[in-house]
Amino acid sequence: MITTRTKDGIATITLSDCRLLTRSDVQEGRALADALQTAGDDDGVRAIVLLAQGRDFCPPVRPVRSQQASLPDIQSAYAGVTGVYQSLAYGRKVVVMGIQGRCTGAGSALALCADFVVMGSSARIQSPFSSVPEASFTLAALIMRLNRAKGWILSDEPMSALQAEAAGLANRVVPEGRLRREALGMARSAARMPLDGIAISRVMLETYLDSQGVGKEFDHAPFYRNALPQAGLPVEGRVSAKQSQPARGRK
Amino acid sequence: MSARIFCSRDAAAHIATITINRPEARNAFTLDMVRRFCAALEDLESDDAIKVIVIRGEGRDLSAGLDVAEAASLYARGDAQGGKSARPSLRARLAAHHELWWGPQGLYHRLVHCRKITVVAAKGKCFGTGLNLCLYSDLVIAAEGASFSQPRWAHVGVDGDIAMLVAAVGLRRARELMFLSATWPAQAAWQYGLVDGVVPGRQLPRAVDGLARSCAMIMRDGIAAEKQVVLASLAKLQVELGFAAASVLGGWASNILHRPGEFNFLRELGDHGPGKAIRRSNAHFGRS
Amino acid sequence: MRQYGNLDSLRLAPAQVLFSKDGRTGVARIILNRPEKHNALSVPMRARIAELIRQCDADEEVRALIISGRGPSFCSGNEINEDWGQRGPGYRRFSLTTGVRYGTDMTYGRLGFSQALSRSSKITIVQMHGYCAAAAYFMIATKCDFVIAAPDARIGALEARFLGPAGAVSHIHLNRILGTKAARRLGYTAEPISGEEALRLGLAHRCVPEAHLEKETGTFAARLARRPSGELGYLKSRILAGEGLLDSHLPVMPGLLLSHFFQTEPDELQFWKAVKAGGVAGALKEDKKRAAGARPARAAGPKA
Repeated sequence: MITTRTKDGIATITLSDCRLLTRSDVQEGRALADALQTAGDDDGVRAIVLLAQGRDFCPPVRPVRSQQASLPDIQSAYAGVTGVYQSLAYGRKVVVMGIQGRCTGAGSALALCADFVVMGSSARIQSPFSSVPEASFTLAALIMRLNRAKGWILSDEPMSALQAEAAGLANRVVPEGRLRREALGMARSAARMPLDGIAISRVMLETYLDSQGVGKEFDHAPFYRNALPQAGLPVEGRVSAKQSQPARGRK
Repeated sequence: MSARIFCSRDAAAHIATITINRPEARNAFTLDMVRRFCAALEDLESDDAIKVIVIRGEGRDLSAGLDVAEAASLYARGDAQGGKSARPSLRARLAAHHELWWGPQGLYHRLVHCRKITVVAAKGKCFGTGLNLCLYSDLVIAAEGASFSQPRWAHVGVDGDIAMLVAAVGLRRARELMFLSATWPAQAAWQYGLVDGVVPGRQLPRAVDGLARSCAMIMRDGIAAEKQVVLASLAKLQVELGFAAASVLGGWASNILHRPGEFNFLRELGDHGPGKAIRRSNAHFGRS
Repeated sequence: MRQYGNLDSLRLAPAQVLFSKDGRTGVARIILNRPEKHNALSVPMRARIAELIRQCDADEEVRALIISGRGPSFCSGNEINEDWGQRGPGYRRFSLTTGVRYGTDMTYGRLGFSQALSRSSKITIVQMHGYCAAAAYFMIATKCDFVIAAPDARIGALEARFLGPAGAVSHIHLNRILGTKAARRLGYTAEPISGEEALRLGLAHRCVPEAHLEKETGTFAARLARRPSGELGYLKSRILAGEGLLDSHLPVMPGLLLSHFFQTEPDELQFWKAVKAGGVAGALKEDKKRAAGARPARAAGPKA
């Protein structure tokens, strides 16, 4: 479930279970994309805080295969122009994400798209690339620099909050108890810019991101979704019904 | 009064120095100073004895940015109708950003295209133009106590190139300057990759000179060739696109419409004068 | 087909580039073995490296490939004073045709060890100690997936001091890895960075004392090689596709080829003249005599 609360020009969007997003749940994806678009369209909102309930922002989840979701549905909810990841990366308002505990899968993919990330001091963030086809390598490389992004992805070692800060993935690290307040403080700071200024800054950012191939990479997500099962990485929704190996646990 | 931009050359060491000399105004640039800085760069480009150009500020600061008193007259020139209409035309706004900063005659374009190695001594305030001098030069040494910021962006939005900024400090750090009106101390600027080293203030001239001398060891053909090849890589890093976008969006952003309660810097400037307007801006945006 | 090199260098190359493979762990090693020259790469050595990488690529048993060097250094770059027939009899310089043939072979063709590395479908790891200079820096270190360095390794475009930066600054990959400022500092000052600084800047993935370097690199490679090969292949292809979107490829060749036509002015070090008189070692000694300038500022880390 996704809830939005707006107060003093800041919309706080809270995920009740981020694992649904890792599983490419269509309803949940649409709900988050809608919440982001709605806040983006609302002149009364100047910045967005994105949080998740529970001890972990997004714990690991074993992908399950469901026959219900069709690829086009998943596509439009997640990778399309109004899907989750593009709505976040190309959103009209600044988004500050607060991450506690373990962050994997969709949680990490969201963290690459958000503008700012605050991490709780014991939080750990793991590469989303084995489970989320929309995870953006171009954004990872622009945020962390090329070799750090590669190392994070290929070694599959989770980064601690402090490592994430040193790598440029996290802007700030605070004790878990102060996570929400810190994220809210950053959002308030961003909200002081005139609304027209925010609009023009977003255009500048979008122009830049597009020039770096960020949009194109989202366009490629369906190919990656198809390739995942062949790589032995089960994921929901793909074009052909060709069966591959059953889901296997990770060591 | 001595020149506000002056140039000295040490032909034996192959090092020239451009000094920003307006310490009483924290080395804020007037439009005239921008043009003189460009002229100094152009002049040094053709001097074969020079391999390295050092950029420094007289007094406590590198530069506090564009003189806010000039902000109002920024769009006056280039408009054939010369201020007949209450609002400058869009073409005058576009032309101003292009000519001053991002176009072939502009300061940042010239700096990026300079065929000598450029080294900046950063200290005190490195705001706006001061920060951009660091960004578009090759090497930067900062004094402890230097601080880096783009205060203008909080007033009108991001109206400058961000391609080079992201290439230097990464996307997430760049956004702190873009959206949070962040001020980075020297140590943070070093950690993020905007400056090459931090030294105590008293050691700054010696450290910069040492770095410049290291650069001057390299043969002229080697320097000039690499600076030429770099242009191809900057194009691929989309810095050219960033400059073009900055001219367009800079002119466009100046049409900003303020809503009730929003901080309107130009109005503050008219009502209270530059000093108080800056103090009120700092208070509004939570800068120390 | 044209073979680059002369009789000696062609004969020696197989012993100067060693290869081993552990089918059990899935880790292969290319070991540079020319310690007396800090593992400077002759043209036949480079051709052999490219060929070995291609072999590994085709070998299903290999999942990770380590490149390392024997002796005091990982690698000092390409051999700079090598005669492999590039100058026609009686000519003082490369012809443009020879330069372009060599350049394209190096960039895209049979000598393209740097290309072979960046296109490899296997995990590539470079193990660095001692000097890692010139081509070893911008053609090997920047193209491998992982850099594991000794803390006191000396990494950089050290040759730029007497040969010009020649591609070390314009190299886009380097700018994406180090950031624009550090890329410029290394290229325009010719000063090396340590393994520790390489770790801080994001070039190196790990920094390991030299005594444990070989063992830890092997353990690290073996751990990665245990990941399912389908998954590794998928992730590598994601990365290669992403790098393509970032459009970060600019062959260093334009810079390198230009460098063959650099001329020194009377007030600059006559490097090639010094090479003629006293060999490369003598010329390096000559260079050291030049005033080094004050050492560039070493920035302090965060205050304790």
